[in-house]
Amino acid sequence: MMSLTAFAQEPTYVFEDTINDKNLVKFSSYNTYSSNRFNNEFMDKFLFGGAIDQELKDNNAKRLGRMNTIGGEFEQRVDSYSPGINLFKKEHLGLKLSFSDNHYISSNIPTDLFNLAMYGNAGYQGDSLDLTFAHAQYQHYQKFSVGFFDERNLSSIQISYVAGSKAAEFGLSSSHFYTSPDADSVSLDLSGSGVMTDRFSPYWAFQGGGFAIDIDYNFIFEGKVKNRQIINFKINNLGAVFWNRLTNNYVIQSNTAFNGFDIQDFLNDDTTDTQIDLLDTLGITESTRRYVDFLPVELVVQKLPDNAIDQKWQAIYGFKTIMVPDYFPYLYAGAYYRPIDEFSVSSRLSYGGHAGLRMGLNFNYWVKDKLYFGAGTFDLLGLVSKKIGFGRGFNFAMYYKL
Amino acid sequence: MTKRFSLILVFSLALFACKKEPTSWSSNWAAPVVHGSLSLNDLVPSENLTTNTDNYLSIIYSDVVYSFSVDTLIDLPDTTFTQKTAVSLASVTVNPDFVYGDAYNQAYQLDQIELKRVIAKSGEVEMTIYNTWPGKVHCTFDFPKILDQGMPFSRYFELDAGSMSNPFLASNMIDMAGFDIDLKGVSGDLYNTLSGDIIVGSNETVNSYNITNTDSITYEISFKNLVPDYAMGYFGSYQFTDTIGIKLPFMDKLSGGSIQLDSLDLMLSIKNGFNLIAQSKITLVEGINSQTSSAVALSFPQLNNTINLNPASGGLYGFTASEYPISINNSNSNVLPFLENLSDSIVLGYELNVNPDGNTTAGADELFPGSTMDLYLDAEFPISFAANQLSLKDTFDIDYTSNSSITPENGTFTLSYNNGFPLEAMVQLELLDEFGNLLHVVPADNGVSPATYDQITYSSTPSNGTVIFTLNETIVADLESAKKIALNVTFSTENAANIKIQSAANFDFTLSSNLQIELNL
Repeated sequence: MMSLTAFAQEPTYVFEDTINDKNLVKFSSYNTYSSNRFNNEFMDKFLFGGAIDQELKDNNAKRLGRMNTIGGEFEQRVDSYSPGINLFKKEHLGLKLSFSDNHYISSNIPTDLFNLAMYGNAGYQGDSLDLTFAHAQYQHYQKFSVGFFDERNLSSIQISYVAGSKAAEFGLSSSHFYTSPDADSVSLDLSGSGVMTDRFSPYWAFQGGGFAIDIDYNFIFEGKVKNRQIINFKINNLGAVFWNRLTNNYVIQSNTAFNGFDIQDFLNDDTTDTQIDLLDTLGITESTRRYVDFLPVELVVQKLPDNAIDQKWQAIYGFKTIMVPDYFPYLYAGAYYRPIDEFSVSSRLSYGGHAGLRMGLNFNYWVKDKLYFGAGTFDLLGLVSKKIGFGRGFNFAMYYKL
Repeated sequence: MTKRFSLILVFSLALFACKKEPTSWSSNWAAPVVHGSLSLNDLVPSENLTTNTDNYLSIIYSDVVYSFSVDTLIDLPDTTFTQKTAVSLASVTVNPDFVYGDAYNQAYQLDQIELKRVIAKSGEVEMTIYNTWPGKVHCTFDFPKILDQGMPFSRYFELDAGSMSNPFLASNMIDMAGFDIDLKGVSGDLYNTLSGDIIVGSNETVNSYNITNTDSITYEISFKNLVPDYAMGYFGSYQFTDTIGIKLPFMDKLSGGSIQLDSLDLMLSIKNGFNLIAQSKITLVEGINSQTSSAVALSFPQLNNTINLNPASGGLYGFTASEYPISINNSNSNVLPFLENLSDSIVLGYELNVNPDGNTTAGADELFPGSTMDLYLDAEFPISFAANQLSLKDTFDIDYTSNSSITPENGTFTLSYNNGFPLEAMVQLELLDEFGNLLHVVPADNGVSPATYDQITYSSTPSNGTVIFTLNETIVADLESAKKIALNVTFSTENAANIKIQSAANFDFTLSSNLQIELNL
């Protein structure tokens, strides 16, 4: 039977036996967003609209800490495995083709920035609000991948053409906002930069191109068959996108204070200083040029459940990181249970990524060695609760042997 | 299986469906609005302020209160002279070298005005010639008594052949600005008389033609819009009587209260810039306060007395107006009650007699470039007064349009001040609709406290404080309807006592806002 190939972003992964001679097409969908501080009740106001009352603000403000992240990964993918097409004249190396559409979101909202946006500055007169390390990033790209897989251990390596659709990224370094105690002056000290592609439409905007390398390797530690251990090692998105020359680049460097308009300007009928050029005042320099952006490189190490052994209960655990500033190391551990050959279920507790503690549940169903369905979530609480859920996620996969 | 899959798909789609309503929340924002320092220099131009000998400020005023100029005295009407010139013989053959001359002597009709000389400031003369001769002619107008930049004025015309029924027409408009016109005629002892010569001749090179004594050349000379810059002669004997109203628009802002002034020195001068004999009489100076419907007439020694005005001295290239000064102060008039009435308009009655005894100068009256007859005020107003609920009101246009993303809910404006004036003030803001109807009063929590005043040294120790204006939800909701904002400030001196204002007095302030707004994304 063919194995499931791991998702580019996250595994709902069961290792199956290696002997096969049939082509296989797999569809998979991995969708998740989460936060380590903001609950669903709060985030839903921005997703679906609604009024944010004082209690909701206060409840979320109480949880804030040094890093307050929101992130999301959304991948829709199709893979094709052709064991009959052998590469490099090696019978065990088959052809693997893939296409995926990917969205990636990552952000960090400093506590003072949240308080400023939600409460205003009136309650912070005399205080300097620290906006340092505010960050937001969005990437949308497609990957057209070609490579080979090893039929013996189901490891694979692919190289991809990355079609960049749209992207934006903004970040602040040392930045502060100060309101004097009597509110007779406000000052803004901003330092940062940003990038944004020229267009955000249509869906496939094709505003850049790049490459990526994905490596997926399974270490099989042989003992007796029932004690076989599968350790999966993955590096995904090792590459970059070269955004076109119409990409907007911004540099912010300003130290601005506003003391109100001078009454003399009104008495003298001088409107020179009463008109504010916002870009100029905020010290934003804009330019248009090409920009190179690295993809969110992902590193995964995990122990996979093995369908080839008789053990009904198996432990699963793993580690993942994405090389972006807002992503915490992601750890999970759980149990895999297969009561009958055609069905299995797994559950996990995880911590990290863009979220805190989460619980996942996944189901797998095989139909006569020809068809497979898998579905689940890594954030069960998020699906059922707005108050104690800090995100939502849903995964789906199916394959069909031709 | 299929049903389970469909449910999951529908749930996923619902999860990421479009927003049905905006995301909104309220937040409070504090920011400065306006700051500055106000002194009397911001109300009164610095050239009108001085520190007097007692070391406090006085407002000085030196300017013309009322004036009339030359067009009141001399009005040169638009006039057209039409003259025909013809040969005296029954029939004449006009050869190419034919020339015929005529003289032009025309009197201006100016009633009793007898002008001997005029230099035009502006105006035009239009010369039109109608040729009925059956051949080409040339026509020259010479005016040796009209000088254009020192040279005698002349014009040359060439006309094609015409007829009695269809004369050929030539016309020219000449700008007369700067023209020096001698109106004494050819003999030099006339007045209002314009003289010149006309020479008509054949403009044919080969052909000859015949004319009769009925074939005339008609010429029209039209003077239009003439304004004299200089004139000499007898300007006539006139009596002007008039009562005029002088509006004081800045006083409209005073809407109530009272003021007590300390002392005042005025010098009202009648200045005669014409070289002629005149008499003047001031018959009425009355101040009217339309807010209180009160009127106070100024009484002073020269009121209703005939004042003989000497002629100005000098000439065409420079003159000195004669002056008749009238001193008005606390002792010889009721000038203090007159000013304390806070009039927003002044009614001025006067009589002016020009040449009351007729032509006693043998036609030597002159008006010079820039001549006027003025009522001139030279005054010093010491800023020493007591105010009791003296109210100033000013109205400003506003145009607030709500923004769908940012909606104000309520807020306050805080005026933080450092007051160096020994005056307390109560401030009130009013929102008015486009018709001036009151929509809301924006209340203040208290007034501006006065500086501490030293009656001996006249110095003031500034006071600090804040005044908070509150905009509640009702007021904010009506902001779009408000088209005007009225600022009412009521001043009082402490215990309505007299104060004197020094040059160092300032009102330093910062106006800041604290607004609760709703953001809608």
